Amino acid sequence: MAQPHISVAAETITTIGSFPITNSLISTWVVMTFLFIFGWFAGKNVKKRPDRFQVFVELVVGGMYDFFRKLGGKHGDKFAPLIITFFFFIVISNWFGLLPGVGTIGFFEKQKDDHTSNSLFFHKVVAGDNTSHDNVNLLDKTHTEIGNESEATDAYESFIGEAGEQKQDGKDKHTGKDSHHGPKFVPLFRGPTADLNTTLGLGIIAFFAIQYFGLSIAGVSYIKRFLDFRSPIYLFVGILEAVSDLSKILSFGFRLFGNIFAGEVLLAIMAFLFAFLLPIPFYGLEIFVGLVQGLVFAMLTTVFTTIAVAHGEHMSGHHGDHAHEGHHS
Amino acid sequence: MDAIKYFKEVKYMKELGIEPVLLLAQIINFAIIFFVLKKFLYKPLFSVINKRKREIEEGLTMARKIQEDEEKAKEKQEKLIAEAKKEARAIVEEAKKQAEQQKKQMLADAQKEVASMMEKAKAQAEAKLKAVEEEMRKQLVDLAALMAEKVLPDVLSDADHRKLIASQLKDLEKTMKKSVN
Repeated sequence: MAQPHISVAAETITTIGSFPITNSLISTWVVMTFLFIFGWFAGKNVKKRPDRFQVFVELVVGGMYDFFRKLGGKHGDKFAPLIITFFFFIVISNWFGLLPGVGTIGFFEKQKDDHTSNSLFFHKVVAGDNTSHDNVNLLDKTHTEIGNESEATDAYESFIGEAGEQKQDGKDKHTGKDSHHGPKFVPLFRGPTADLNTTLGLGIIAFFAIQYFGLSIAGVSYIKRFLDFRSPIYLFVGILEAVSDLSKILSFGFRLFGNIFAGEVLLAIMAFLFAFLLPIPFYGLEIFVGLVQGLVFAMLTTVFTTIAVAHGEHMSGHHGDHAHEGHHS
Repeated sequence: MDAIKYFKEVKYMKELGIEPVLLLAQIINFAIIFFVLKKFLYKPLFSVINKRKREIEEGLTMARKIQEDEEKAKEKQEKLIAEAKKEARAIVEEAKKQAEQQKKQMLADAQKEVASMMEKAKAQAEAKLKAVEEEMRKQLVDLAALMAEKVLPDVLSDADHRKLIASQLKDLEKTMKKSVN
């Protein structure tokens, strides 16, 4: 039986110039297209007296809008549209990754010794191959490093069958006969949120959205959150605030990626162990996880934005009428 | 050393699949989704939802107002009806009273008329009686004269006779008048 295909990185299908088209990017386009078509159909003919489809749309989109608007408090209606876009994009992406065919339909690619491939396994080969014709010093260094690394990631590699085999057949690798792994399977689609580029991108957008709404609603006094010269303690607290806000990018990105990628690995393993019936409960679980992760992302963004706005307003109310004027104008 | 470090870092990034170009691409993709959905879905949908919400609220307040008005009108009506009933009763009472009075009046009038008519009839009868009496007296005088003429032509001259009878008649008349009165 074929080994389950697992790769942390999204695989490159093709490149346009130097721009890599990965399978998760293709999936993102599919999700985008779906959202565009849905949005266009749902929004093209809204009537005061709704038909069935509009009732459904109002229930889902309007319901989410109301929920996040209320969660966002006084200024909720300003950032609710962005939040529900986060929610719908993430949930649809998560669910897209669960569709049959995503991750299983693809093609076999003959292994090449080029640096464009992103798979974990492949890099080891590259590193190993470098040794045979490049700088000998570099060779030794990398080699020992790879050795340490493989110890550290033993647990991980043990279920990435290929990598495990690779380690054992170290000799083969050096001779350049990669007969044992053959062509590499590259799936055509991959859940957009099972790619760190997507999730970190969303985290970055969320970060900038928090700063933007904080600044635009609370006004100039929002800056005091990070730069407060009244006392050294406040200055230090400001730095901490800035670091904590920046770290939100990582926490947003890795939380979403970790959950969804772990789900896909779990499903792959379950399907590998026994392909019939066994994965079904896990599919149910992953559908739920996909929804919950979307909710978590959206709710955390709402809460952080609300806190940022409230913080700025609180500060402006506390000291200085000049700041007060600023944010009311 | 630096080269190795750099290589290692990049390698980790690559192992995680983080590619700045793709990161940017995904950010742009999301931005496109956001703006497209905002323009084509959120704007029309939420405006209609808000409009409908406002209309429903207006309708509800109006319905409440109408109900209140209706209640007020009902109350007013009831009051009016009660008042009208009262008034009607008063009017009927008054009318009854008037009728009674009129009846009494009419009765009194009738009685008066009857009395006056009776008086008149009495007077007429009296007058008739008087006339009859006069006639009878005349005839009586004539008869007496005739009898006297027949009985007393020898005793008295004609002229004496007449004088005597006339004086006698005068007396008789006096006594008759007295007796009548």
